[in-house]
Amino acid sequence: MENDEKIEEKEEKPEFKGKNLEEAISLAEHRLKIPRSELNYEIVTEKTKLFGISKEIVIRAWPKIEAEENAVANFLDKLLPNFPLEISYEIKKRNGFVYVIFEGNDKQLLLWKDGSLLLAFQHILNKISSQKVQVDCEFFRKRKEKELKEYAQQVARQVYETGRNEILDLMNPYERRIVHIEVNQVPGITSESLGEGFLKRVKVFPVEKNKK
Amino acid sequence: MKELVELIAKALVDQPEKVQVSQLEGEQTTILELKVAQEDLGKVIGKQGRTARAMRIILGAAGMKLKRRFNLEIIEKG
Repeated sequence: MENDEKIEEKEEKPEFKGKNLEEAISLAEHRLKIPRSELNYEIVTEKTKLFGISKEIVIRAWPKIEAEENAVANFLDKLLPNFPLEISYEIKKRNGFVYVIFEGNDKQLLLWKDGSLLLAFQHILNKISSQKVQVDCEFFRKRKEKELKEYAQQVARQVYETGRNEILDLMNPYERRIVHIEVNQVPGITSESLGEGFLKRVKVFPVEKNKK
Repeated sequence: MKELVELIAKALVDQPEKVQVSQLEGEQTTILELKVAQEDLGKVIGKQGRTARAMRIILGAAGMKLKRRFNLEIIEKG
């Protein structure tokens, strides 16, 4: 990691000048067209004139995402040769996060047990990278999302017809979000999460109109 | 499989030089003992054991392919 950074420093990085750090970063954001959350910067010079009234600061800024992609790619390049499954990967940038797509002869094993291996990789990669990492294989994510949406709609309709509450199985935040969105599209029906921790249950129930 | 656990653990911890993995071969099962610095224990276990579980799933999948059972044990130094 440290070696990489040293090599990077030799390359030309654009400099930005401002009256204060805030101004210099804003300028960098503007010129590079990258939000500051995705920028790395270092201070080149900082001058304070008499009584600290007038200041000038120069920073060097560059996009963060390259380094993050490399962190993920470096790790996978070391890991996969030691992993007996035949899988390869591809990295894409999407909406500010790192998107890893797996391919290969053993991709069925990745999807085994409801994608548990895929999600295990996602968890580990997220620990390594400071940028959010999403993994996918064979449109697993899209398919799961569709299934879950249909299920949520079905439950919402059932609650609408019977007027009885339904409590769903444990779900992670991503799944709960999909359920909440779908359920709330059915008029008169709403949902809330129950419990503590990473996995929670979602309760689907009719809105009480008389309640103030 | 030792290398695999070592790689993952080293990527997760703050003190990679203190990561140690030993491999014990049984008849059907291989036991992998992972030792890390005391301060890094939480990093390899994770919130509600999620990181440890993820590592076990990765080992489990490798085991399915190799037709062998791998057991990951995280050792707490006394």
